[in-house]
Amino acid sequence: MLPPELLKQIRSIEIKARHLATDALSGEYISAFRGQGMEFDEVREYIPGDDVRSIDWNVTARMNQPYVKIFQEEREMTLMLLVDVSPSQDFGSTDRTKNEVAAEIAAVLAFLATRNNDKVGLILFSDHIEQYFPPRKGRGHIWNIIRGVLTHEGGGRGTDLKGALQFLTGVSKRKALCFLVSDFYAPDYFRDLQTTAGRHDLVCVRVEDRRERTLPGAGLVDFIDSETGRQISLDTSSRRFRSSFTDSGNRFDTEFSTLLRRQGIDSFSINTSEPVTRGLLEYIRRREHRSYR
Amino acid sequence: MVFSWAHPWFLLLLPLILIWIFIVRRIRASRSVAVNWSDIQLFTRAGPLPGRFQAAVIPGTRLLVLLLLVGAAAGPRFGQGRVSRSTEGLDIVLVVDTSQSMRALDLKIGNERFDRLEVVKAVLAKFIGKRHDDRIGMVVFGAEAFTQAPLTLDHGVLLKFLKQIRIGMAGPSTAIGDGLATAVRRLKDLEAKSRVIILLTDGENTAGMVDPREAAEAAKTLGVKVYTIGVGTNGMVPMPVQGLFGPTTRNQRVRIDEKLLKDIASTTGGQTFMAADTDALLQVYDTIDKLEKTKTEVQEYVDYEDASFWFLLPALLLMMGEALLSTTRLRRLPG
Repeated sequence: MLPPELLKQIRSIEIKARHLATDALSGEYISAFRGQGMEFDEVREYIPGDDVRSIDWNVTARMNQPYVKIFQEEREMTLMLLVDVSPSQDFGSTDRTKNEVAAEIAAVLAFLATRNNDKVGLILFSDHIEQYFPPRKGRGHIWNIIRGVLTHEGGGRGTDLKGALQFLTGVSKRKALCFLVSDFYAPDYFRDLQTTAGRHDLVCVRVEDRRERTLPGAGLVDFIDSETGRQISLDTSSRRFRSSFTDSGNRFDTEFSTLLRRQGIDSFSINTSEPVTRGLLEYIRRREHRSYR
Repeated sequence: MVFSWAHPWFLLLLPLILIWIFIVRRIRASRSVAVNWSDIQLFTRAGPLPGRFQAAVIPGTRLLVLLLLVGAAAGPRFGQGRVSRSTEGLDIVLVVDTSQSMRALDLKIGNERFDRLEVVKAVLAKFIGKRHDDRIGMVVFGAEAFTQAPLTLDHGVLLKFLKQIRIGMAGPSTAIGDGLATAVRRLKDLEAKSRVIILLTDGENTAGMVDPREAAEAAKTLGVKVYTIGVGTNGMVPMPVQGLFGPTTRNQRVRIDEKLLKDIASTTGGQTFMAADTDALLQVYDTIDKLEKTKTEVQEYVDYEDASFWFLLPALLLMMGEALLSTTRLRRLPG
């Protein structure tokens, strides 16, 4: 059984996500990710009771028998969530860690997908694939996914984006909408990002903490790398270092988004100190706007 | 000023401390307390990391304090060497012949002829100058014998008395026995470990009430060693005389009773020397000087001045500095 506070957390995420999915985002999600309209599937003979409006007059005239058009709602879409659960994600200067934020956004996306009868799959990865939930439908599955993201105890000691993307390519043959939620502190994954973007509809979600951009002056501080275990002592009172720390963070951010934009890969970032929906909403609006054009 | 350690084995703690520090660092590294950071590369890509020196100050200070304390425990000190000498001198009585025959001019100092007594006085002065730690007395004899100077350590006075010795001051003849007896009497009641008589004469026993051999026996009984010195040429010597045309010299026969001197010396366990000229006489006294060594006990002391203060004071200051800095500027997070 899950511990009560975790259960509460999952519950609150579910409620929040469902609320978002119902009210604010639902329609926009459809138009942004699914496109619109009905797709013609086939024609068949008229059976009494069919809607007369669906009779295809052209075919009826040719065959001398009444035929009706069968429409199908747009083909099912698969939503794949790739969530980084490496130790570097277990970091947060506010009351939430990057992991929790990632879980939250994954949950929101999962809810949005279920409401539209899409299949949702989840890949949790660190320096290896930690857990894989194959795409399925249903509310129970959503629960599994949320619980999977939140309760996962990361065992890895690094971030292997490359491996995760290759795994995705392996398990998901059909085109899917993929959200890659990570802090992107990983070595050379870019080629695989391109490959994945070519096959799927890839959206990179960058999870950040404000302390990864700005450092408070607190004198001498010992730091330990959550992944490599490397330790350093740092004099955070050095103004010069703090400003160059911020600079290098901003530079990394700019380089990252420029690179993605140039490759036509969508991305947005969310911050542990902000509600996750802000970034998501902004992104969906942007995308919706673009798809109308 | 020589630096040394009172308890140098305390210094063995130094390697132990280093080993201990090594172990502690290991243990501390294995269960470290540090701020968990998502990625250290966020820092390293921002440029050179400040605080490497600041981070080393506190541990370095602690190590230094520890080393200083160990140093203080080992008892650093400055030593000032000091030598203390305790001597046990001899009692020496110099017996000098002042008979008329001492006038003989057969001895030279440099190229000039002097009478025997002058030469003897010069040699004795030199001898006295060498024997700092001995009590020396002087007995002169001629026809009779008396004490010219009692045994004393005050050699300045002694030299003064030596100067006053004149030929014939105790009569013209030679009473060796009386001289020796007087010297023995001088030494009789004294308790010095080593008592020595140095008898100097240039002739035969011609006068006196005491037989020299008996006096020698007495000396032997009292454990007094007698060195005998026969000075001058045995035979014809130039003697100054008052002639018709002022002072002149005339050769005259002088005999030294060598056998007697030998007997005296051998009876008392001393030695006999014959000195025909000044150099020989000097050598004789040198020989005696060497034979009769003053017993000296030399003890070396070292006065130590404790220097641990100079270890403890910096240690204290460093500790205060450490306490101050480690809670303020160089405070380390997470504590």
